[in-house]
Amino acid sequence: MNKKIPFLVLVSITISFVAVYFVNDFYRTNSDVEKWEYSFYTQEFDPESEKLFLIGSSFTVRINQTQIEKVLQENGRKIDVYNLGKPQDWPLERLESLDMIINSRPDYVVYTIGYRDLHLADESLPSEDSEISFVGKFTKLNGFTQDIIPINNLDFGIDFDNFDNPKFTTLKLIDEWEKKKRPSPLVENPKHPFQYQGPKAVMTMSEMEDKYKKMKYRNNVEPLGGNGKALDKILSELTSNDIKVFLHLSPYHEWYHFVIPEQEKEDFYSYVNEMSKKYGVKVIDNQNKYSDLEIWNDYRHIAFHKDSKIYFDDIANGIIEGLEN
Amino acid sequence: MLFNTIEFILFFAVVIGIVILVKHKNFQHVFLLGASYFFFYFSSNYLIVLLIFSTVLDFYIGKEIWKSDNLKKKKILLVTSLAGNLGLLGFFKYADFAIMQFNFLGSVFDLNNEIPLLNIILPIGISFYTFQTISYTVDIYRGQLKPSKTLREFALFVSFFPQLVAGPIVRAKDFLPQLREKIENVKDGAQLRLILVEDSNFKIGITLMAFGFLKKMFFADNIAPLVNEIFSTPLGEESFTIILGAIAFGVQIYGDFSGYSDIAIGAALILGFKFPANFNKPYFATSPSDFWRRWHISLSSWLKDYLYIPLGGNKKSQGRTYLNLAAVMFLGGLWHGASWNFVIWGLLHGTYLTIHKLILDKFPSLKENLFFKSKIGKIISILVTQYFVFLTWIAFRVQDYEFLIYSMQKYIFIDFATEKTIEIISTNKFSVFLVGLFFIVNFISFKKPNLIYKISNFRLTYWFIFLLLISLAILLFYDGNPQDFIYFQF
Repeated sequence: MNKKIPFLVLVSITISFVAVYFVNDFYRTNSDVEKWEYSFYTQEFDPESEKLFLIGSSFTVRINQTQIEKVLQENGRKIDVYNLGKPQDWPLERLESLDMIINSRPDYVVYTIGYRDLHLADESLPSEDSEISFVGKFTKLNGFTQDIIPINNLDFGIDFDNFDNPKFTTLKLIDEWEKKKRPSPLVENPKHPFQYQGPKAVMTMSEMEDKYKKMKYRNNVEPLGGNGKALDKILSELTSNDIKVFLHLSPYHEWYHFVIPEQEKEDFYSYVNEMSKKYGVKVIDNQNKYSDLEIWNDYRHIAFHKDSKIYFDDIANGIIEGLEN
Repeated sequence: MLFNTIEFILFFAVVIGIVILVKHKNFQHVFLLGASYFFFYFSSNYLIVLLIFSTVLDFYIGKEIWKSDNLKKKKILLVTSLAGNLGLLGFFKYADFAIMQFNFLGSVFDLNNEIPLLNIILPIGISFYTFQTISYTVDIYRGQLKPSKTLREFALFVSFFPQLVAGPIVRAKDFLPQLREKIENVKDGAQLRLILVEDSNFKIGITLMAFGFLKKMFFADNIAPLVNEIFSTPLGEESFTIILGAIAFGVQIYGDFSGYSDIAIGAALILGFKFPANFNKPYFATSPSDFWRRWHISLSSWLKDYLYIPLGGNKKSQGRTYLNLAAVMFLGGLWHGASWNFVIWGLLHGTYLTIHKLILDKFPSLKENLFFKSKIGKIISILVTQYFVFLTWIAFRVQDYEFLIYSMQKYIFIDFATEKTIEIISTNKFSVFLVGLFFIVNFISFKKPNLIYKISNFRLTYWFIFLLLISLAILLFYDGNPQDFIYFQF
């Protein structure tokens, strides 16, 4: 047999694996969001104005910060409102940018949370000396070597941290390349810099009912899990740095409420009350509102839309109320 | 063991390596049998007992049928084999389904007693190897096949790892001679064939496997999220969204299953075994019957030879022919799994075949009609055929019956709304792009039928570049978790 043939097969596979590694590595050091976050938090803010950061996941992304700022100003409060929401930015992820948030000295933070923010996460709080093992990370790519090659405890000193989904990495790279043609969102939307979304379609009530009444609930509210502990730490750090914090409970459509187990609702509320008391945080509770209004983009999100003004006004009024007390 | 994991790549590399290194016929055959059993045991554990039972049962029954001159005895032996094989298949695959139907009928007639479900694990590949062993016994009964000379050879035929879990359904008369192919011409035909890994087979095999991995891991697995998003809760979706979902699922299941078949055929070819093609550009079929000559060919030809023809085929009355078609497709649907979805899917195809045959019987001149032989006529035939084929994929994919009825209604009665479709496309650009790219690639390979062979004949440098591009596409767009082949559940 011509030995060149199997050799070339081996080489092509090896080159591909090496390419995946470098693509991942390249992306990790050139992430758009990381760059934007760094640029945002290190910018010179207007010293004359107070700053309010809206933080959280997709719940926050769809809040209209301009409307909130407008209501605050109409009530005599000159506060610059920044929407720093990022999709799926659960408390464990938010911990990574906590230092930058604190260093940029906001006066107020509104942290919007929902049940999903307390879902049971596999991760625990990252410790100072946690190390990433080669096999532990590499096996995320192909979950078998761990069973076959018993080298779990070896550390080759390579950071394979972003190796669990090459597809997303590649797609983000392509997206990044394509975005170079467009101005950075920091320029386009300086007050909604990370995940700006234009107005979204609103669903009719019958569509909501049809689409989601059979929805299967997959969350698992676990206040003692990683996310619960992370949120506790975030609130602790923010309040100890003299930042006034609001916990905003994001609204859900009634069809979503129906599928959430009562025990999980109780756990969620008792956790929120505990945090509120522990850190003196005001809670703005919009969870059970708006179900009768056609302002929903889906069962968990109010649409970023002109008809959703009532919701943004409620958040602003909650903030004003908190500031007055 | 999934093909799309590194376990399999390593396993296969070791198997090839040992076959190349140890050039001893007996060892090679025993080794391949052992490797195949290891492959099966790796994912099925103790259920390997069923595979061994089927093998032993049919080996000895096949021998007895061949030896016997008594037709009655032959029939009894054949029935015993069928009962053994279909009994196992029926119990493991359909027992819980049958109990559920009994319980449903019980609830309709207000009977309070419910039969508890058995919660049986479906043994992987049972539908495939059962059909292989049945064809072996039936072929011997019909006098079309000599029984295997040794149990070892027969066991290798039943368990040969490339085709073990999801086909193609290989016939003994195609496989067994390949174990002795080159020696049969010599006077003492008792010697086994030395298994050689030849350059040409290796290159074609690797090229086929590369295409198979590309179809499965690049196309099918990356289109799956779009399909899941549309069909997990389709209520409220627009017609164009449902149509997009049906097309995307058609591409997904084709990429998934024909990808598996390509890997299986390629792996077997590297070891010197030639399997028949299982797919032949089914989405370019010009009629329902043409579709079934191109889709899962090993199953459709099995159903034709062992079900349709014994039922009388088209040799009896027209009415009986239509009934046979519908019955075969009904059973073909049920073969896929214990669910009404597959029954509906099979019946829809049965209906198409019946109507198509009915039209041709009523208007035989259509066969020679120049319009249908023209380019535009063929394009229209393809589009109309595929419209109906993709409708059946909805029945195959959507499990919830309310969702299924809604989706089918939307597919048939177009509402011409586009707002949500555009939103779904914009949030799943990559998957939608892959659906488009798939049809382009498929069209190219339709126009150049010997593409695989042409590529495998490239000079080594170009062939290496081809392999590199394919493996880069697969790995860079791999989504992190190997996903099961859809046909593993059958």
